[in-house]
Amino acid sequence: MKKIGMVLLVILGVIVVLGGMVIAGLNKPVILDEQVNNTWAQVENQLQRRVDLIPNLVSTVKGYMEHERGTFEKITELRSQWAKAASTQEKIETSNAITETLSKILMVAENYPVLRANENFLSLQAQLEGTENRIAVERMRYNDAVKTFNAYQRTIFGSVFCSLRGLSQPRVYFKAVEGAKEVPKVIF
Amino acid sequence: MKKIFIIAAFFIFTGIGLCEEPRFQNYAGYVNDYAGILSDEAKAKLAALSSEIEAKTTSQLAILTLDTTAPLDIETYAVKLFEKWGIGQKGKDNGVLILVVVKDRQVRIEVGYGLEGAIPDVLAKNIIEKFMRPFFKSGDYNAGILQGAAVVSKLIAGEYHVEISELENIKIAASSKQPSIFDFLFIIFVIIILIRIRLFWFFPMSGRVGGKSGGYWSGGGNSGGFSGGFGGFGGGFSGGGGASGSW
Repeated sequence: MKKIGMVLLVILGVIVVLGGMVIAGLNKPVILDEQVNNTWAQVENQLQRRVDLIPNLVSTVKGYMEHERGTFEKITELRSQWAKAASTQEKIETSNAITETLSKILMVAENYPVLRANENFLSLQAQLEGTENRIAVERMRYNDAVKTFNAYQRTIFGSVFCSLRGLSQPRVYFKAVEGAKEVPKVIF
Repeated sequence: MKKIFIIAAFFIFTGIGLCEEPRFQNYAGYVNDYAGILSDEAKAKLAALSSEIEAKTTSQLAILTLDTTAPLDIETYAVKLFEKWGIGQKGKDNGVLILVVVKDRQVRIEVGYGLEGAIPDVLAKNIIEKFMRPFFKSGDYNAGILQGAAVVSKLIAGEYHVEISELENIKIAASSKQPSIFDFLFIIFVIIILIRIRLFWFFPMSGRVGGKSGGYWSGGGNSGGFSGGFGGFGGGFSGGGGASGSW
């Protein structure tokens, strides 16, 4: 009699534990997916902030850098392309192109001593540096979240739970351009 | 039975995951001088300053000196350490980290999300260039860090509309190459504030510093005693705000 009671208790325990696991498993894809969404929103904030600095930068340096007109046209075009970008992938590609063009402008600006003495330019440069760094930070957090989510999707139980919640599509990593963090620094 | 335990253990451990972060220093107070460049007096002043700031504004100002941040760059190191320590209050994210890396000759002011309005990147950059870098160049780390911390404190105090009496012990004097009218006005402003606060003061300066610093940690900062004003950092976040510089 005692033995049967024990067995029943163990079975009950197993059911409770498994039930808990299933519920937790069903919740986990949603939580991880939301984490990815959240961190992406932060990335997008910072990307937007950088895009908002572009008109100011262009108007500050345009007067000094006449023969860089093509680059300015490109960055302005990229800016409107960014506004139109709908999917995450599109946004990542556009922002990588912006990173490249911006760092080119700042690199060329290095050759203009007048610009390097311009308070407005220096302040813009500090802001751009800060924004690039913020983007790097938020991108890191986003990629961490994507990594957690995608890894979970590929685990034995994870794949089952994810498809049960309709979340079996892996999320996109934000791969940065090489050396994107290297905003050229002003040397005094 | 055993199998169930093994499976349960598997779930628990895979859930936690492995920690792949490089090892970060632990903190022992507001001031963590792992490079050993600060004098006891400077440490005491900085600790008293941070302590007063937290008491009056709940913001947390952390100071860390290191030899190197390798293999990470200073920006990545700063943001990860900020998150690990949790500088600033949870939810408010009102922390600031001043990180001085001696061998790499780099400095960073990392600003928590909640103080990005009070200390925008441009100002952070200015603090480094005007108040810290000139001192670091001549090897006077004590002065550079004190100056930087003092200006940061002023900005935090301004954000919360409070006055920090501890600032009286640190003379803010930008040693910029071309002092502008702004700098003079700033100094005059500070002096006026100092005089104003002085009126309410009845104790000699030295006695006050000595008395206050007594409650903090001593030496290299590993005493771990959270007596005095420090009760650990609050779980704040930063998102890469602030500025870096090198000398």
